[in-house]
Amino acid sequence: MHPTPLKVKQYIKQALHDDQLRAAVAKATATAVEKRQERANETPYWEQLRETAHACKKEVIDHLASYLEQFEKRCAGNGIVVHWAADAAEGREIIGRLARERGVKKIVKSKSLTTEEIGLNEALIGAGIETIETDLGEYIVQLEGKIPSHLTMPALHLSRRDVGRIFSEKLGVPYTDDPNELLGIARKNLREHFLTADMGITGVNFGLADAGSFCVIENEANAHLSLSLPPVHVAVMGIEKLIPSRKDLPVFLKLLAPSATGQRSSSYVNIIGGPSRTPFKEGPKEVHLVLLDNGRSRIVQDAVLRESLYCIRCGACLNTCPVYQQIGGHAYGWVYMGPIGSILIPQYLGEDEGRYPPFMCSLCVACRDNCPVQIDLPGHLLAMRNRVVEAGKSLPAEKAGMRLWAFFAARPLLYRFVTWFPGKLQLLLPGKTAFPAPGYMKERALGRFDSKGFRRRFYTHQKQGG
Amino acid sequence: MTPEENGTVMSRSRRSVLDALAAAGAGGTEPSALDGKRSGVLRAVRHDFSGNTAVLARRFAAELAAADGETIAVKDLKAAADTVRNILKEEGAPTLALTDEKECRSIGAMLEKSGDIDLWRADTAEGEQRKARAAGIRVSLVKAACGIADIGSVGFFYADSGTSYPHFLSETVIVLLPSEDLLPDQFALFETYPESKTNNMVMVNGPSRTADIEKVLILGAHGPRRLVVLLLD
Ligand code: SF4
Repeated sequence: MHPTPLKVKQYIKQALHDDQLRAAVAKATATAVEKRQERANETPYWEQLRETAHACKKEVIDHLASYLEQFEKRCAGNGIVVHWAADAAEGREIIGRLARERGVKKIVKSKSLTTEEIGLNEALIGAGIETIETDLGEYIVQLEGKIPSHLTMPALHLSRRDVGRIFSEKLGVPYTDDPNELLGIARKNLREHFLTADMGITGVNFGLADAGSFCVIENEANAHLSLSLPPVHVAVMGIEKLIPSRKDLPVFLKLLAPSATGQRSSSYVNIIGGPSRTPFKEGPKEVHLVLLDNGRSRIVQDAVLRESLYCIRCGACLNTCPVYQQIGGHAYGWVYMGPIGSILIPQYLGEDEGRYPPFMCSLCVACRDNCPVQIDLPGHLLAMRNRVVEAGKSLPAEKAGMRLWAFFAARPLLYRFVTWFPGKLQLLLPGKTAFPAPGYMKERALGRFDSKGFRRRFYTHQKQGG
Repeated sequence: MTPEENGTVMSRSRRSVLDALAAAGAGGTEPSALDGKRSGVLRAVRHDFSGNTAVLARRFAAELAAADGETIAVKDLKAAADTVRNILKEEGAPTLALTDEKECRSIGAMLEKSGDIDLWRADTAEGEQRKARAAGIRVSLVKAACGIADIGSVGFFYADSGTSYPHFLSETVIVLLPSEDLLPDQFALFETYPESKTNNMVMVNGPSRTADIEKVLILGAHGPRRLVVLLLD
């Protein structure tokens, strides 16, 4: 059964009742937030980096057609075969065809959210091609039969015992929950696959428009092996992943690893500009690059919301989000999650299917302060809420409630009465109990009405010179 | 089948995506405020850190150590060869994989004289054979094209190394880095080297790692478990 953002309520309930999940998410996000902050604090020019990265992405997205044409031309000049996919189906079709025409039987893949977005694995596996995720977290999640629950930490929701159980069930190895031994099992299995695969598929972190090359960043070396050992390399890149120049890459490199994992640098930064090792008798003989639109050109149409395309998928906004910290990534019902996911989901899937996620936010704005490319995430969340409401997709009860509130809010005297009266009425209840609200109180506590009320407190506070 | 022109598969989607973007006003180019920001960042980065070779070397070693890599200063190729021999002994490895740069070859020649080390040069095999052989050798010696001091990384250009198999398939990778090839930062990498080099390269910061199981850091994910840089005076 496919997850869908239409079922977020059900997923949220499940997540809130899963203590182990919540503990795992809390621990991982807290560590990431702390380490990111250390890196930002020790870098005196951190804010300048963020501003420059923002300006680079703005430049590219505001002139995306021109940059894409430049990039395409330079890539082709470097021997990269460029394909264009208007939507997910075309992306799957292109890659499926490339595999079929070459008689590919086994594919090794390195972590790529863009390929998750187009459901590539299922399509390839459905076509009878063995398709293996090689990033350890992704490998675990693939064996589990789920999708990643975080942009950069795919198996965040699983404990070492879960992983041990999955390995022993799916790989038939004796149970162990020692992370070292578990990695050893994965490493041994996957090494064999790297050496025998017919095709490697990777994502792309940055396309370098002026250089006609692209960058794949990783820690495990699985991406390097995926793009070096098989005879064919296929990279899948959302059209928004461009940056203007190779000379801008360091700005992004200095932001990405600290924001994602708190490292100063990622372990490996691969730059690929074609089948460059063939003269030396190694490496892929063909490099294909699939440029994926899948709704991105539609997002560009909105001069404000196009800013969400600046995202470099670092995951910092997830780590710092109090909502994500409680419910984890699966609760969002799609491949993108957290604050950026809540903005992207309705834009990619439409305001109908994506109507709930924009409301999964307390507007604390922590995400904006942490975003390395300065995306105004809370602003966009509000704009998306607006769109959902304007598209008539809000709940009937919500609509009625807001109408009722608007009615009273426009009549100050009446408003004062209806907010004063329940406080007084409550005094008639025995003890210090609150009004009974059976359905509501099943999952949360309802406080007593404050007999002073906000208005009275506000005026007292003002009088005291607050 | 869609026609291919100069390396691009000319499909209907290409035109439709570009047209949609142009219609959204995302075409054309215009002078942007980017240049000012770019030079501002560069000034700030260099103000924070730059210096002579000794300063770069110290920072490089400290940063690499923070990423679980080791740096050993060696005064000449002879000292480098001795260090390689010691590492092989430590690892109990009888064979060393080598790349084809002249410094690696000279170290190889010195080691060969002692007669107790089995050497394999990656360029002596091709394709599948090279893959299989490289995957079976535990220790390798390679040469970096440059070092990046402020992040403790080494850079390999495929145009120089011709291969990346020993760099990634061995468990212990020994990297020879002449200290004159140390750069202060990644900006200097793209200023110093032409596109033809930086378009086909990998920057390496320490051994491969993962923290995908309960955030427990483990070295040696799918690539090397140990990375030793011999910083050549
Ligand atoms: S929106 Fe910003 S913080 Fe969130 S993943 Fe994207 S780049 Fe990172």
